[in-house]
Amino acid sequence: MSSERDAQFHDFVLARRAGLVRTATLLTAGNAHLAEDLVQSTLTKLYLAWPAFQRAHSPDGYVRRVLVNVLVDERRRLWWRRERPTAELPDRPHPGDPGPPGELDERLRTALRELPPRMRAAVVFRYFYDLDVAETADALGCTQGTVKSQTARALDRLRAALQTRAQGQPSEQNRTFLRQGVTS
Amino acid sequence: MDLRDQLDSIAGSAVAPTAADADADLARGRRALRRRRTAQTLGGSAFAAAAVVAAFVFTTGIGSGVPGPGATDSGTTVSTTQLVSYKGKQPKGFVLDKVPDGWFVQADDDSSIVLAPSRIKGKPGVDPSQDPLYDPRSFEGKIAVMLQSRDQGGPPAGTEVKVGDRDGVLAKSADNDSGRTLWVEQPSGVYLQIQFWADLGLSHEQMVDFGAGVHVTKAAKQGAG
Repeated sequence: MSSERDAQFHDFVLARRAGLVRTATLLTAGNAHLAEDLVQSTLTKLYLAWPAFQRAHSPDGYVRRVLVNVLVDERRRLWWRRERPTAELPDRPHPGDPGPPGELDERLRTALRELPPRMRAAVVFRYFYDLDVAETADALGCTQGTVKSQTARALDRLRAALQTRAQGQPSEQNRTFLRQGVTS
Repeated sequence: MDLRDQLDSIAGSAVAPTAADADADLARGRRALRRRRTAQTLGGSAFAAAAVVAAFVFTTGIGSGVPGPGATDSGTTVSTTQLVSYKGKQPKGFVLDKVPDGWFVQADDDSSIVLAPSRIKGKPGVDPSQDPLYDPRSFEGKIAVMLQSRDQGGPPAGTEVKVGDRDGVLAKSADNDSGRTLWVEQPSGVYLQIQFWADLGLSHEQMVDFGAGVHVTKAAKQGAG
């Protein structure tokens, strides 16, 4: 290892890469290839800014900001948009049929994919990582009011998308999901 | 099953990286650092000359000029194709005056157009997943026209250009390759965006000239994301 920076970065990657991939997978709505790309770009930016990262008051917050910045980066945004599926909806279940295992995952993944990147990130940070509004605002580089409105709109959209795709009576899985979330 | 469980399922299991993974990440970081340092070293001496070239090229109305090779904001891009009048069916949302010679509208809807080289036509059976040129949803190797996304801010830093009679910005791709995105201000305040993939054989003047021939209609809609 040629420098202290290299050694520290190498250790950081070994310790944190798996978690970064999971976060990136959520931020890209389950697109594994784009998630890997996102992680690689994020790690490269961290390496470039390693002294600043080391001095950061909240290293985790710093990483989240870089992830979001890379996610919404102009080129990647366009790349992401070209990856978005057309109006091909998954096969719809029969009313009352909860569907095969994983079907709700797929519907949620599709619904997440249709959210703008920042809105998707707000959902991930608030409802998966349990960050508070202030921490989420810091990650997204926006106001706390924006986080609240973005998450509320995101949940509305997810709810509407899942209801549309479920066609008819929502399954028990859907009902459980749809009851969640608009309270915060 | 609640939302967290669903998200956890989508996130997948944590797979510990190998030392080789970390080595590869480190190598990417080192390369990026070297590029940055090289750019900083060269930047000072090159800046003045580049500024003169950019001022000459981009403030003299090249949007309506004759296409051809020319100096650019990062060197010289040699044109290997010409723009010709577009004679095909006009797409939804936008009107095209010109296209690169031998290109066609591969896909269009209310919010975007994708142009691709005609050489991919007439080859049934090619799996689009194996070659993005054949995938009408892919922008790779193509020109994509759209309106600024609803959740998107203004144009990034780039070279200010005149696109016909409108102001625009020609911005480098994030990968710092020859790809460019042209932002063209519209009367509505929403920008027209044209993404040129790297190595299309178009000079920067031709990119601007192409942009000057793209007209946004009332049917065009902004996308999101």
